[in-house]
Amino acid sequence: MTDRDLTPLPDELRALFEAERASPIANEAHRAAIRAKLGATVGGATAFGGAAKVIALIVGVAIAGTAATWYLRDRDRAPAAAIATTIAPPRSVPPALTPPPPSRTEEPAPPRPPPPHARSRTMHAPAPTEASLLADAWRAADRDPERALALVAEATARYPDGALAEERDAIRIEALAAAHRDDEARAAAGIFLDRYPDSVHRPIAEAALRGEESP
Amino acid sequence: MTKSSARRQYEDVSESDRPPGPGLEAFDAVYEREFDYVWRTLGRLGVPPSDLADAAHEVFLVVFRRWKELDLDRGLRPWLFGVARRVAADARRKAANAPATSLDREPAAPDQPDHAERDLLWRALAELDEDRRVAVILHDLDGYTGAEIASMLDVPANTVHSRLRLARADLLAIVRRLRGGTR
Repeated sequence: MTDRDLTPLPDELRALFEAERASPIANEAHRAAIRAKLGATVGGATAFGGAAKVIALIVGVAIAGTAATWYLRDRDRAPAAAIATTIAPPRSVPPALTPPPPSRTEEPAPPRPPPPHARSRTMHAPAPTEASLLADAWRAADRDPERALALVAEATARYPDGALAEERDAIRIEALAAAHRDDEARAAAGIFLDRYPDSVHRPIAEAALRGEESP
Repeated sequence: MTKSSARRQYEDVSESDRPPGPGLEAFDAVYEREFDYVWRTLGRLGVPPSDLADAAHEVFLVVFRRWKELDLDRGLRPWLFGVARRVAADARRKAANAPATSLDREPAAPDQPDHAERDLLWRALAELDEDRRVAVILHDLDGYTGAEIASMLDVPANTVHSRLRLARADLLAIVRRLRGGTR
């Protein structure tokens, strides 16, 4: 069977698809706001390492998500130009890029029931994002490692396939080392280095393998 | 080793042995070129409007982190679609766990007629079965052939065509229901 053997697309759907493709995204303000927050990470990309970059990355996600949500809710009133002034000028387009295929395509796990505090949230108190959980965990890893581990566990439960899994695993290693759970830290570090051999967080894992607290 | 000396050692490693940076100009170019595609794809994949910015940010964080692995000789979009699909799955799961508010599901404003049809389609797509949703997005909206989709998803071409047929039928019924008419 080829595509030509398919039943013709119903006119009603064809018109809807064409309207959707022609509809403006109308999110210049979002584009600028997200790029500005990415700048905290990407702008430091030439350093491409260091715990501060990790924190900037995680906090950047949290701030961007919150800011963009607020913007979206007020989009009819927000003057787009106020934010759009931060848009970087378009650059020349490089050759097409193709990363490796996605590592996972399986269906997501079924939704978990929210914890009690989430059920009783107010309109502006959404469930914590993966980024906000990990930002808190990273800050706690040094002085309160058990709390950091609890936050990492919560992030794992809420976002098992989260985009920040690599950061999550690095924070767990740091917290285990800070809690003097050296055997667990070493085991986690070995797994981490196998899984992310080119990670920017590699020094954290290597320190744990040497039996040191994270740098 | 003390904590402070460990930190100095870490900083030394990160500064001297770091991998080459991705190049801001190249990253910016990809960001500018693909932002609309990512945004639209996330909307098609059922990410609630209030979560779109967060989800788009996550996709580009993944792009940044995987930058070194990108193959410069092939197209980026099939991979971007896969990343968006996983981020969208997380966003949908989060939205399903959170109590809906009137603002979360706000319909298109009356003075945004251009968005009305788009929002209708995105709401209808959100109700589709995941496999069927992916088939109709890739074929009917992104323009991939059945054979290309089969290769991307690693499934037989006949499976793609079957999903597409069922997706169109389901989608038509959902759209008509959402329009409030029976036609």
